Amino acid sequence: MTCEQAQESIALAVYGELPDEDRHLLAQHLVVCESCRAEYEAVEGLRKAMSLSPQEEPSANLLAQARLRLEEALDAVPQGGLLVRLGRRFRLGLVRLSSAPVMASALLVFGLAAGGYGGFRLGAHKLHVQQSEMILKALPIRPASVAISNGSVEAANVKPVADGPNDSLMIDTAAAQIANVSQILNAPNSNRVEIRFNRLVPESISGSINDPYIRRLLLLGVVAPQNPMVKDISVDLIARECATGRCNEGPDRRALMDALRYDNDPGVRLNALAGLQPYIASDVHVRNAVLDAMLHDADPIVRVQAIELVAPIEADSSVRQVLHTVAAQDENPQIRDVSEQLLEQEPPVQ
Amino acid sequence: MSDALSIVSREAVLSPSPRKSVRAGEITSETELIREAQAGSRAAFDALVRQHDQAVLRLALHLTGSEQDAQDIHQEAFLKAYKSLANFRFECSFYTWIYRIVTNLCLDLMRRRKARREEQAVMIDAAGGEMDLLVNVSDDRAGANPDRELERKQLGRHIMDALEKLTPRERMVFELKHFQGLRLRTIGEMLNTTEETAKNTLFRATKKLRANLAGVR
Repeated sequence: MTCEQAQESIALAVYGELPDEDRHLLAQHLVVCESCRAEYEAVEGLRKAMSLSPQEEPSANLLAQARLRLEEALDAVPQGGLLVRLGRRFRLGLVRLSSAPVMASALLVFGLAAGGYGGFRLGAHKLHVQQSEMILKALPIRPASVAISNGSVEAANVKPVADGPNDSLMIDTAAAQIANVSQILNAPNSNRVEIRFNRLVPESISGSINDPYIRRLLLLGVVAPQNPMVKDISVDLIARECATGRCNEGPDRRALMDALRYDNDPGVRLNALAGLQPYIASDVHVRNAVLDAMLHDADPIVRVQAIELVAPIEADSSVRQVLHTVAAQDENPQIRDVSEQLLEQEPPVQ
Repeated sequence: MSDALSIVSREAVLSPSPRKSVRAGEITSETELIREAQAGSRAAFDALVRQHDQAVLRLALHLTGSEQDAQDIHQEAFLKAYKSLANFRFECSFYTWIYRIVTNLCLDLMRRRKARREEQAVMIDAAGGEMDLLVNVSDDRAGANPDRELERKQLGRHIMDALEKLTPRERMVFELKHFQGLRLRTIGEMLNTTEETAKNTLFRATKKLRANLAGVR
């Protein structure tokens, strides 16, 4: 250690701030250097001299007085309104968060997630309410005094969702485009009812009659229970297609045969019959259906039409059998005549 | 020589340091007090004031030499602390934080005084014959001897004069080291400077004090 370094270290050593290794070096230097030793003693002397004039403790009186003045000054500090205090708390919270970044991030993520989920739930709830309102608005609600159909549901059941005093109102389900009610939930001791039902959503589609999808819809139209016109047109369209030979063996013919056998409307049955004509000879099922019509159809025009259609194939034994039956038993004399004429024209069975 | 070193180091350890005396439980409770005070609890802040105001007043009294100024600094320091408590982020101890405020206020006052004194012109030179005060000094404080007592009073006055001649910053570092017994690292934190600068300032302060006191009879 040089004298210069020692001079700088002496004050630190006297005040206990010199690291151990430097203290050791300084002690070694002081042993050999008289001037530095004198310097050390001088600084140590200064420290001792200073200790003779210690800091005085403030008197109790002075301390009490200072505290009193501070109290008054603190009382005079405006506390600020609620907003100021809230702002201070918020700032404080931010300060604390900034000292805990992981916690802050976790809180942020949690807040975003909770907010997002809350928003989603709120949105879903609003959508549900709006849908309920739209459905109920769309429902044809009528006063109870008006005719009530069999399937009507009392409006009191849907009252919690419906607005206004609708106790005396009824819903006409036939026109309500409601397919069915699938579930009814009713909490015990509560007047709230949740009704789950399926609605019919009207849609339309246009395309070629040869489109398989259109064909399927037409077949559904054939069995449509509610609208006779739809059934009529569907059968007509399918029959026309079949009459021109564009008719598959499965669903189309079956639909026409069903229409021929079971439809209440003679016009529909006639259309079906016309559609089946090309297949009487080749398809035994079609032939049976036409023969059934000959024998049992309630409408004479249908029966006559059926007879005319089977004329080309009367050589068939089953056809002749039926023609015999019709000629002998049909209530309509004209039909009996036609049948007999047909039997006479054709050569007997070999 | 090594005896002297060992005595010094023992005394340094024994010198009262408010930070060292604080136990773990007290730190926890102080942290809670600070948080409550930050949340707006006046009672919690009052409790914090009670913990530190005596030390603050002592330092201010010694630095200013005036009860009135010490009271002013005491009041101003705690008011400032009260208003800016929300900015306290526990990056240092509350003790260091409040001392930072106090030392800044004291430094301002000392600088103002020094500027005034320098304007007042003529310094009286009270030098007669010379006496090597520092090597003859005694540690015996129980002064029953009236002559010794008078000598001590004179010495005290000379010491105060010598301290007054330091720059405010040198005076502050010396006071905090010698009288408050703080570590130079803490002093550096309080004065917003490094430990190294605090060391150099202490070195300069002791050198000046020796020079000022060496000429005293």
